[in-house]
Amino acid sequence: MQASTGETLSAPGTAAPPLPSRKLAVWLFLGSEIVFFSALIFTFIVLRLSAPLPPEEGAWPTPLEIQGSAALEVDVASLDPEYVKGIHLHTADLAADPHDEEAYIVTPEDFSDEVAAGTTLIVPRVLNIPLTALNTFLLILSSVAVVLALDAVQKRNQKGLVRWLAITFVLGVVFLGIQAYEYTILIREGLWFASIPHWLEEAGRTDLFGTTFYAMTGFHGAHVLVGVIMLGIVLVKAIKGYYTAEDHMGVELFGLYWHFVDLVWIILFTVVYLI
Amino acid sequence: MSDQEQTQAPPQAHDEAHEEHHGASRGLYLAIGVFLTVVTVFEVFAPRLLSNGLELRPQPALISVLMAFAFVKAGLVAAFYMHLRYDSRSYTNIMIMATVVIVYFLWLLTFVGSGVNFNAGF
Repeated sequence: MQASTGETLSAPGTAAPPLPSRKLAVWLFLGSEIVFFSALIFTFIVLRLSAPLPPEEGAWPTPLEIQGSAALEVDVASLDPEYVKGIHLHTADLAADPHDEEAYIVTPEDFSDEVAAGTTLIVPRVLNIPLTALNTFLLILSSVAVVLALDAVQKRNQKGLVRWLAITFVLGVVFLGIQAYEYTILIREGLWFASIPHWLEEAGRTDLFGTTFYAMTGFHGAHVLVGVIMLGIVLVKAIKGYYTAEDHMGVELFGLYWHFVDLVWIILFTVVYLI
Repeated sequence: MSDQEQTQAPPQAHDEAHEEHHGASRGLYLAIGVFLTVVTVFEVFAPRLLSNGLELRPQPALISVLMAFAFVKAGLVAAFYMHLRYDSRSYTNIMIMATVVIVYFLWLLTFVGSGVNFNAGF
């Protein structure tokens, strides 16, 4: 029998316990978020797979160009000149700044001479994998903290609830800070919507790389920002003792959103940074 | 429902409370967190292990391993941290339906009709 408030939903004629309407609403919202992010990620994958291969104009940056020679531990000096036709290299002394615009670009024709001279070639990275891996770790840690906060309130541990929510808040803010820092570096290097670093542009790479990068990570970052704001509200309410073991739906609903944001980042980090 | 029962906690709070007291243990939450971290570390080094870094496009082996790990991690977060493992099956069905819907429409856009021209394959 439905209560007069009509707050719960149950399939007529069944004995199944009714679903809390607020929780059902959040799950439906998360379903729409799955549609949203899946479209973004799928579009990125399609664009990347349908781009021509280097050295054709409009090619997607190669993994070496995205992650840099240091990340992939490639002995660039041992490259077969055939590979050079596809990979654009930027020479620099080891001590010099590989982003120095005065460093000269090696062409396929003179590549062999440079290798023969024993010069170590450095392929500058675009994306900072170690820093983003740290960010991924922080987000995973924040997910652990949120679920421990929920566990705490279920066990009537108010101090634990506040502690874990506060830890989550700090981790979320640090995540956003690191991402903002990463953005400043990338923008300084020339990566932006419809814009890529000059050394990739000169190699004829597509600027869709920049557009898709910011579209995906930017929307995710916006979701994290909204999550941090919501977390601030939940944290204040937790401090005021609003949540109890009997009634802590707000904590759980926030947790669902936060875990979903973490889940999306797990996929994004793999697709955008590692592959 | 009797008047006496109606003066008690509202049905919503009762149903929410009825749903709440289940889930994994703290130890399992922490173990999953450790697993997620370890797998992430492996994923960061996977490109060095599974490729020579000279490919013009990521290779199938690397993509397969990384995506498999990504979905395992996502599945653990959904199942245990989001409590899908312990909650009503309806929530899982919502996620599945949303995924099926979007994958279907994206497949239509990509492969049906003029579709998308995929250049050089792996």
